Amino acid sequence: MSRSLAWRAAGVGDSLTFVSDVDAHHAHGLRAELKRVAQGTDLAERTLEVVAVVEAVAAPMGIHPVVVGGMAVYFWTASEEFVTYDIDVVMAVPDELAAKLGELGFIRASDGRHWSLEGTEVFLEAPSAYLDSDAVVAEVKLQSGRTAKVLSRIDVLIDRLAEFQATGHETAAQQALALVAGLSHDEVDDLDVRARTHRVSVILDVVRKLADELEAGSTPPDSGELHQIAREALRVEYSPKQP
Amino acid sequence: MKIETISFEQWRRDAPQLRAKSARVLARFGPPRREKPRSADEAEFLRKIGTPERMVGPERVA
Repeated sequence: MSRSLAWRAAGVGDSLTFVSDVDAHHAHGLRAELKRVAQGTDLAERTLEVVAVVEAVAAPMGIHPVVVGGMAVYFWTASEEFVTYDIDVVMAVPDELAAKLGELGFIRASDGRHWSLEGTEVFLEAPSAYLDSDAVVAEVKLQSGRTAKVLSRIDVLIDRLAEFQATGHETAAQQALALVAGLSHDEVDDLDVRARTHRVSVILDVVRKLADELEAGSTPPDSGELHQIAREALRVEYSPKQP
Repeated sequence: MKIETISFEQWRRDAPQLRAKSARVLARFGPPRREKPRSADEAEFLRKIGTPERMVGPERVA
């Protein structure tokens, strides 16, 4: 039943009942749609369609989920090397949205931040509610007509640089290298400015140089060397500047 | 929040080039292995959905 037909079917004074009927009908339709898109075979499209359906119920509350983490790295590198198949999104989950997610078929884990979609392999994590105040988001227009938001390549790169600088972990280094390799000329100036703001400009320079050397055929640093690189970058980044 | 727009078709067109660029810089590394610990519950669910063990990584000791 379309919304307009339903409105005509509703009598005067029945509007409140009608609204809940329409909501139930809408939720039922979205639940079926979510189940359908969750079976998709294209990883990127499936992920974004799932997030787009979540946005459809969250947006009226002013909440717009943004894909971050490993799936955002996948989006900007197209490399399946780092894929974990879960979907990290930044979004607040007030009780009202939690109820809507339940209507869509999501089951909340006891830790409160993980959600699995019944009967599918969709695993959603909402680790935080807020992005950095200067964050840029890409809105992806999907073939379904819906849209989903993904943290921009520059923001994902800054996040991975910060993680590499703080931990020296090889996975974060590899992700940063892959993201640097995919940068467009237009993104470079913005990246330099924002890397300074986020205090990752030293590690960014190191990663850029390393990417050039690797492309030229150099042997990659081992785990111990990566930890050393990160420690040194952190020391320089946070050393008091000489007058 | 600043928003830029991209179509999924455009992403699909760009993906092979992005993949090739990533592969060139990562070619001589071994497969990535997560070092950051996760909770046991999260690790268990990731195994259920097919996440490779090297990306599940170590479990956090409670």
